[in-house]
Amino acid sequence: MRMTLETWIKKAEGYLATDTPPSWADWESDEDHPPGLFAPARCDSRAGTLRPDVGPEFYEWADLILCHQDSHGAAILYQILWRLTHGEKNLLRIKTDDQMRRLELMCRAVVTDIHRMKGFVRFKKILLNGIETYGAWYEPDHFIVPRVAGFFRSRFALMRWVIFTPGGCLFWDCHRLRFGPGLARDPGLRDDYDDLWQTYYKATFNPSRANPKLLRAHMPQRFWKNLPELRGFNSPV
Amino acid sequence: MELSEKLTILSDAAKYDASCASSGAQRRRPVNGLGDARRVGVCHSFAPDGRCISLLKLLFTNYCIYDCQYCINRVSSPVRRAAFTVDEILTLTVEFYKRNFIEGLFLSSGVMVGPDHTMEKMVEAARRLRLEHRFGGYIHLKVVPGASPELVREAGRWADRLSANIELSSQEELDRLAPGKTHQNIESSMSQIQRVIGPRQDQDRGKRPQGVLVSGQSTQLIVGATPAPDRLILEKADRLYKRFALNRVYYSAYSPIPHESGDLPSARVPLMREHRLYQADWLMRFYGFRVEELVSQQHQNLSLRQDPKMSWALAHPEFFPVDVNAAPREMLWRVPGIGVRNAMRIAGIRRYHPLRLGDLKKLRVAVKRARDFIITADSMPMRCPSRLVEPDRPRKTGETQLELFEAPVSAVTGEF
Repeated sequence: MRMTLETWIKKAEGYLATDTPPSWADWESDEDHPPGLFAPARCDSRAGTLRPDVGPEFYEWADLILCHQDSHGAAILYQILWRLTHGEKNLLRIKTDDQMRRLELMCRAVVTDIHRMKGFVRFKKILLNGIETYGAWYEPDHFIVPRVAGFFRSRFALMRWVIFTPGGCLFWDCHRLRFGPGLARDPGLRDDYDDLWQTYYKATFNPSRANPKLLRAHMPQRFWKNLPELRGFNSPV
Repeated sequence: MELSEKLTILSDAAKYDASCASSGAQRRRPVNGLGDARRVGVCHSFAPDGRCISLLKLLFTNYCIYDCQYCINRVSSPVRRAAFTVDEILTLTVEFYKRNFIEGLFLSSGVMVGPDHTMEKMVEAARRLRLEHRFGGYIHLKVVPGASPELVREAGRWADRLSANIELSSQEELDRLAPGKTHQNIESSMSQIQRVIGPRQDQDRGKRPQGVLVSGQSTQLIVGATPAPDRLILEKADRLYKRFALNRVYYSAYSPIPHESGDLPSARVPLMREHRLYQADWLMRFYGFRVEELVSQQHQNLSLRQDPKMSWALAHPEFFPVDVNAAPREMLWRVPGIGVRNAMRIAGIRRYHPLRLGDLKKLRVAVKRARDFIITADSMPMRCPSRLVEPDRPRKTGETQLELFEAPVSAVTGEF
């Protein structure tokens, strides 16, 4: 499960306060405060009030990195924070630094995933407890569902909708957004407009310009099974 | 005729318009409405040619009174004809939008009866989407050249983007292939659109006249249906950018259409040519290149073998080598392999430490292309740039050209 930014900041502040270098910091355990020899109790009282002043950009990055499915993100962030507060205050500008590059790649993966989810979710008109609802099944690569919620809420505010994902479900009842536990399998929803959409997809492309490599680069094949326009194709060309 | 049949015919007929952009408009959802528009549009799918699908791209009808030889919908073409009703277009747009298939609608049309009659129908579709369905998504309307200024103005109330296609780079070409169409007519539509949008400075600041929604216009030019060289095409594009403050010019490589007329080339234009034109267009708009730096009387066409920036660099050894640790940014992004974005990053980094070749690799600079033109903390050009590549041979008609994309079987058979 994803570590929240608040939890991460609290822990990071604790470690910084006790001058714990990155190689000593433990980001795997679930405890709220830094465990071990060097963690004095006073860490907790300072938590959340004293963000190390490394600029808002760092925290925007941190928020994205913590969405990444690779749980090493928390530790890498602390390495960066440590260096920022130990004489390398311009580190965020140095895009050639190896740790910064790793961070940037992870960040880009999350941003891409967010962008894809906005585009590739496919709603089906269904009845849920007897009420008309637009339901979708989606499998994101990273823990991004909460970050994408606002996009769907503002765009489809007058529709009841639900997005099922393995990591958690998102419900909108026209008033309130709720998060629920994930769904293990594709619920197999169907919609009459899927066929029309596939009809459109087939007709809107010019065969003399076919470029399957580019198609796969933009829309990796693992997404195809949930896209009605590509259902039934191993390769559309 | 069934809706799905109409959809097949009228989206197939619309696919020759390259634009599918849905960026640039930013709007909250209307009260009690459906949908919004974002500054950066969303790609909802990708076509098998790799292009983003973000709009439902339709022709209102493919009946047409014109006989443009390059167009599949010309009056003399034996294709099947169909026409949507306004209600059908509204249903498709709204239902597709609700399922998150699209960002909005791109509506164009063959010309039936006359320009005003056709334009009225398209404007009606946009107006009813906005008013009856309180639709807040993106709308792109094609303006039929010759439509009355009142209709263009009304189109600007409902659409986010308007476009009139310039089609070919000169009037002589139009006379030959598109009888009845004139640049004067098309450009007068463009200037009407520009008047509706207002001055570019206001546009850039997001300011718009009262009651106007439209925030940009674009156009499209067909490449390779006539012998016009790249120089004419780029000069035309440059003039259009300057005169009408266009957001985009789209270049569409002519590909032979079914049942084509005998006046046209029967081989398709290499997509690489289209690609090079887009690169040159990009250099003109964002890199400060002038047309005459990219094409000239002697070199009328862009090289297919190397990108236009590389061609320029090879022709101008006096500018190189460029020291990445000292040169101004505008010089950095003139180096082949270094883009504007990386030039900015380099300028940011070199304040703290000098850059080496390895650093450029990490920034994903195309070091292979760049290294003969630059000095870094640890490298000097090995070869003299002027001797790198033999000068490009002039392009002959009928010469076999490089192809950017693979052409699988389906390209030949046309089968999906």
